[in-house]
Amino acid sequence: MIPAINNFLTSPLLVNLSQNTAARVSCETGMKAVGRPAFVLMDKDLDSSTKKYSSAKELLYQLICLGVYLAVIPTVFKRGTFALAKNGILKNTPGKGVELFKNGKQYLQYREIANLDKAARTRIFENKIDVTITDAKKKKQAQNLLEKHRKTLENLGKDSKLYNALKNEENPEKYNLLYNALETGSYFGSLIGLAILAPEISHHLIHPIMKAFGLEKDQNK
Amino acid sequence: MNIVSVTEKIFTWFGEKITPAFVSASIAGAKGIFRPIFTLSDKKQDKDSRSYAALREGLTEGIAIPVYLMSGQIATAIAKKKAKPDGMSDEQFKKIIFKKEPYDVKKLAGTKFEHATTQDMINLRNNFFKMKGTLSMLGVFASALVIIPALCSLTIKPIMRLAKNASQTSKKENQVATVAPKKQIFKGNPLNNVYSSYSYGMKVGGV
Repeated sequence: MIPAINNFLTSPLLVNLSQNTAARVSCETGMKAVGRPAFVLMDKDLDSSTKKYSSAKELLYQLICLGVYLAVIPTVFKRGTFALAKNGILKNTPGKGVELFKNGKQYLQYREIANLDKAARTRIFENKIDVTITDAKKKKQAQNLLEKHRKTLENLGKDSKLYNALKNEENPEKYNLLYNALETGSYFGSLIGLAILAPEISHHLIHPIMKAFGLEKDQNK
Repeated sequence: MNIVSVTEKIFTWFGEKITPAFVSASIAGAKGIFRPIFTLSDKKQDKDSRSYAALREGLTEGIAIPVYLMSGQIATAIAKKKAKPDGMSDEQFKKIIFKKEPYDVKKLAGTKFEHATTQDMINLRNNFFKMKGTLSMLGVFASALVIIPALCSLTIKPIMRLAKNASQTSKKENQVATVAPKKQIFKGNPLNNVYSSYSYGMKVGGV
C-alpha cells in the first residue's frame, strides 16, 4: 500500500503538474469554479433565486479568471520571460543553457525527459515502452508519451549536446535557472492576471452575460 | 553585485523556495485587496450590495490565505514521513534532504544504510521534493474545491451579520444625533460663565 502511495506521489504526471505554476493555477481555478458555486447552491438559508444568481455569478467569475489566465500566462509571461532572459538579462552568460534552447516550450520538454530516471530515458532512445505495463489503456498512454518524447529528441537534434546528455548521463543538467526564470514569470503573471486583469474584465462581461441568461432580471425581482 | 547575479538570485528564490501553497496564498492575498476594490467601484450596483459583495470577497480570500499556508505545512510534514526510509533517524534524513550537495555516504557506515550510494542519496532527496510538491498541490486543490468554500459558508454568515448590525447601529446613532435636541445656548450674562470669572472682575495680585 505504502509503495503504491509513494509511486502515486512521485508519478511524472503529478510531479510535472506540481512544478508548473501555470498548469497548477489553471487546475485550481477550475476547482474553484466547481466548489464555490456548489457550496452556494447547498446553502439552505438562501432563497432559490439568490442561490441561482450568486452561484452563476461565481461560476462566471471563475471561468473568466481561467480564460484570462490561459490567454495571458503562456503567451505573454512565459514567452516574455524566456525572451527577456535569452536576449537581455542572461544573453552573455554561457553555461546557463539559455543559448541551447529556441524557446521556453522546448526547454520544458527537455526538462521533462531529464527528470526521468536513466532506465526510462534509455527506453525512449530504444523506442520501447515499459514492458511491465499490461493494461491496454495505460499502454496507449505510454505509447503517446513515448512519441511525444521522441519528437522532443528529434527537435533537439542527434548531434546536440542536450541529446547526448539525455542519452548518456545519469543526471543530465537541468538548467534550473531557466526553469526558475519561467516560474518567476508565471508567478508574477498569475498575480497580475488573476488579481488585476480578471476582476476588471469580468466587471465588463458578467452583467451582459447574466442579463442574456435572464439571471440579472431574477435578482431585480 | 551586477544585474545578472541579482536577477539570478531573484529567479532562484521564486523557482526553488516558493511552494504551490505559497503561490496560491499570495494570489489570494492580492485578490483579497484588488477584487473588493473593483467591486466597490462597480457603479451598476447599489451601495449596500457593493459593500456586502466587497466584504464577502475580502473575507473569502482572507480565509483562503491561512488555509493554503497550512496545507503547505501539512504537505511538508507528510512528505517527510513518506519519503524517510524505515530505520533512518530524523536528524540524518534532514541532513540528506536539506543540504544542497549530495550527502556523504561514509557517514552512514555502521547503520542499516551503509551500502547506500551517492546516487541513492540524490534519489532520496529528489523523491522528498517531488512528494512535497505533489502533496502541496493536492492540498491546494482540496482547499480550493472543498475546504475554503465550506469554511466560507460557515464563517461568512455570522461575520456578515455582525458587520450589518454594526452598520445599522452606527446609522441609528447618526440619526439620533441629527434629531437630538440642540444644546442649550447660554443666553445669560457672559460675565457669569466659568471662563469669564477668570477674565473679569476683581483680580487679586493684579495679574
